[in-house]
Amino acid sequence: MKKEGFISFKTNVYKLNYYETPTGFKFIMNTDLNVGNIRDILHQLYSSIFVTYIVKNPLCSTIETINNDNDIFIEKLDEFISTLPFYVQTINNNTVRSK
Amino acid sequence: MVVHSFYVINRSGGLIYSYEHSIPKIEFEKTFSYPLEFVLKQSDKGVQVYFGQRDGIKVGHIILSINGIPVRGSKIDFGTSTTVTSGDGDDNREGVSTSRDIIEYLQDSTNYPVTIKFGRTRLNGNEKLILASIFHSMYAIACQLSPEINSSGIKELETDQYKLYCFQTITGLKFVALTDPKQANVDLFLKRTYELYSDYALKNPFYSIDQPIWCPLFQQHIQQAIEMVEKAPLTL
Repeated sequence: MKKEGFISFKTNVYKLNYYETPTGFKFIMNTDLNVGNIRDILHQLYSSIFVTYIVKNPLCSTIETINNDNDIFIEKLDEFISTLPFYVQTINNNTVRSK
Repeated sequence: MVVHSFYVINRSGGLIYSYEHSIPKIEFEKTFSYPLEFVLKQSDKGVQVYFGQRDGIKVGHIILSINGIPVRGSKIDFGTSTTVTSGDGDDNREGVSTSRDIIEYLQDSTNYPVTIKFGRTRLNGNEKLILASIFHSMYAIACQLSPEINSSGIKELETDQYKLYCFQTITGLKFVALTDPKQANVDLFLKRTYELYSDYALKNPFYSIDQPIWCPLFQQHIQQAIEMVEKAPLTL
């Protein structure tokens, strides 16, 4: 039984989902209330997108903020989010925050 | 399906009521031989495991007793004994109780094999007060962080070991319950505790608002409400 610690919290309008990697990176995604446990989705986001396009990028410092000119990361991230089963395109796009 | 504990936080974030119904005891007692594989460190709570967790004994666990004798901070008192056994070290003297430093005692190979009980102590009153005010602030921060407008604060907080439910009344009081992740009807339970609060605390002429609640009838009814919510998962 792997210990996960803090998983999520809910208010009356949103749910904050949390995933922390063993290296100390914290992934936070704010979703709607009826989204279930997405810890494995956040883990996938870390392993297939963050590691591939940020960690393996020699020009990207993981200490400083990820710049907006880091096009491929943002593109792949966007692609990943739009394939999520609970993602719904609205006029104001869903926000995804990752640290 | 268990409700571990129940707390009431007043309008300024101070803890005014705390009831521990069933908090699991975290203790592990094992016999060890020299050398001890844990790295131990002195802390204000006692002697803590700093590194080398294994067999259920985790980092942060504190030494609670050695060979059945409870520790006292970072020292252990070996009681008086009438006979001096020959093979032992110098800690058995006739009619004298000696206090030994635990870390030194455990570094001496002649004291082994030794049975040590590790565990996590319960939160003391001060720690509960601090954590209650931290939660009060986190509740407000969650309101601010909301991507949607008009968010309330944290209503449910989930971890793998427990779930925290918080019901904030319109008057700004928070009723907080820590339960098993699978416990149902906790929101109904918290609304019931609000009813009990208004009956046994607010209607009490000797009770002043936002002060710690010392009403025995309140405690009794909270206990009954917890038992009801634990027993009957589908109705309340």
